[in-house]
Amino acid sequence: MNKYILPTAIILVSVLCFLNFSTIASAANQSITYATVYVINTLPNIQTVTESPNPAVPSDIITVKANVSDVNGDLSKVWAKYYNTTGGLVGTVKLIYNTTSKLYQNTTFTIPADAVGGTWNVTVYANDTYGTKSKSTTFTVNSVIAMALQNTPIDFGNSSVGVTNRRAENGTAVAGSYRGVIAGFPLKVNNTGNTKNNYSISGLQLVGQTNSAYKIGVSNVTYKLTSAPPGTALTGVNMLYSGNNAPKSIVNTYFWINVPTGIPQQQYKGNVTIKASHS
Amino acid sequence: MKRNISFIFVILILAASAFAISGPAISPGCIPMDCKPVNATIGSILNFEVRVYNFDNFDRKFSVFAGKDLINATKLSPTYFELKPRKSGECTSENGCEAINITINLKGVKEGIYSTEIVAQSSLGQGGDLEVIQQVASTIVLNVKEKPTLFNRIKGFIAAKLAKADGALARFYENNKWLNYLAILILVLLAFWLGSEFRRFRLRTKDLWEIDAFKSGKFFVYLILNCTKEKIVSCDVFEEKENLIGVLKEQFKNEIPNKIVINKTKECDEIFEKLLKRNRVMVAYSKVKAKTIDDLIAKKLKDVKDLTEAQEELNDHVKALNKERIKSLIKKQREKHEKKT
Repeated sequence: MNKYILPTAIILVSVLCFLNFSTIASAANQSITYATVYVINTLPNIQTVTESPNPAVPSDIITVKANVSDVNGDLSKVWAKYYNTTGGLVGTVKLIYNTTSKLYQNTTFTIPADAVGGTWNVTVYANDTYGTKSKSTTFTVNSVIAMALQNTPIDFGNSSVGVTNRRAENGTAVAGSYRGVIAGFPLKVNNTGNTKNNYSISGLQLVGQTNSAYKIGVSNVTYKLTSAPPGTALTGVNMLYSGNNAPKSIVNTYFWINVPTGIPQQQYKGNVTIKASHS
Repeated sequence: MKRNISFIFVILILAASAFAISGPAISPGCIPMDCKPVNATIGSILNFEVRVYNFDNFDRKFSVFAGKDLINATKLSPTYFELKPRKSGECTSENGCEAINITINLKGVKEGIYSTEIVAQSSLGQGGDLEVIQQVASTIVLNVKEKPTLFNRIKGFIAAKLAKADGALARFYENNKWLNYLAILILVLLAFWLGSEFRRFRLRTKDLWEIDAFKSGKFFVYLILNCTKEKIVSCDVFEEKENLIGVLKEQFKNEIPNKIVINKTKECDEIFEKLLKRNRVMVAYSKVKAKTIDDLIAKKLKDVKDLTEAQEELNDHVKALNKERIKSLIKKQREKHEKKT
């Protein structure tokens, strides 16, 4: 009987120990907690992008507005890029949040004066810590026919009857003849639009300012693109005289007058019309 | 040197930034923007808008009028106005902009391409011998045509719808690239099917199509003679045709007696055509091999003819023999009778 006591005791102790260790281990396992936290962030959302005015013309200031939201509240910046008809980047502007309209907007971008007409694109970007979202809209930049004239009006100074090819004022003063201002020699025609221009010219006869019965026919006035006479006689009908003039280009037009005989001494006045049209 | 370059650079920047629109201006310079003609019909009324700007830094007076073609057809509003210097914003005279409404009535206008101009004119109003007047013109290009007929309108409507559907289809395709795989699968299946049906396609001659039509209608009894070389050698084709001739012979006892000898393709064709009409029998066979077949038919028919002739000769012979026999019998009977008496 005694011989079984020790092995029995050993077995009992072993079982108890096993149970105890299991319990301890189990309890130890249960005390460890693993917590996994997933931080979810999404891109900002750009609901709408609007642009005005549409159509626009060169030199117009563009207003761009965007409705931007971010559920995570970590929106860092909103900006817009303007692209021209060929996709070239023309400008980048920052959009500021307007508390009244609750929109991000910018009113500082100016369409360049020589901007090519056609369909332009404005893309709004919104950035947060997760990434950048973008949305685009298009608008039209119209072509503009515009011209600015320099060295007007056209003056021929004091002249005697019967004189031919008397030039207009070129800025050189001559006592009794020219004042010394540039007035028509040359007349500068500047293409300030954004398209290629054709220029045509016409005129009306010069009428005596004291006695209007006396006139100088319009064909007595001549013009040319260079400063050496003789020029082409002016007519009452529009005549194309310079074509395909690029934006920013300047066309110099020189004027002369043939003073007929048999007219009294007085001031004569007429007019010249320069027309710019699409080439 | 470096300073000079910097100086030139600064000058260039200043020169570039100095460029700005100035003077009187009109926009758009061309209607439509690319100056290609706008399609219009006689009798229609067109509405356009152009804007006149004052890009100078002083007030300007403007007059607007129509130039070139369609002067009488064009109405403008307004035609006289004054503009402040241009400011960005809405198109108002205070902002240096005026919107001109243009109405072009094409009633009574003839067909053709018209290029009409809307001219805005302004003078600097200065003294001098020659006052300079500035004009800026916007060009409108129209392609005026007769009002389309009902047929053309329907055609145009369908074309527009098709173009729209085509656009929608293109967008659908753009958004569903997996259609490429479907298309490839369809092409592969089509290739397999074509391969298996190649021979059938090859044989689809006009005659066969007609036969199919007759088959489907069950109106004609049909017979297809497959005239491949192998079958001719084994005489299957011939048998078919011979059977046919057998049928035909029954039907045309009087018209196609055994005496007919077919030895020309043309005759063969004519006879078969005749038979087809009368018997409602559709026959298709290869023209290439027809001569060979017809030769065989002719040979067979000649054999038949020979046999028939032989039979007739035999009959005649029998008749002759019988005649001689009867004569001899009569003679014998006479001789017996004479001996008795």
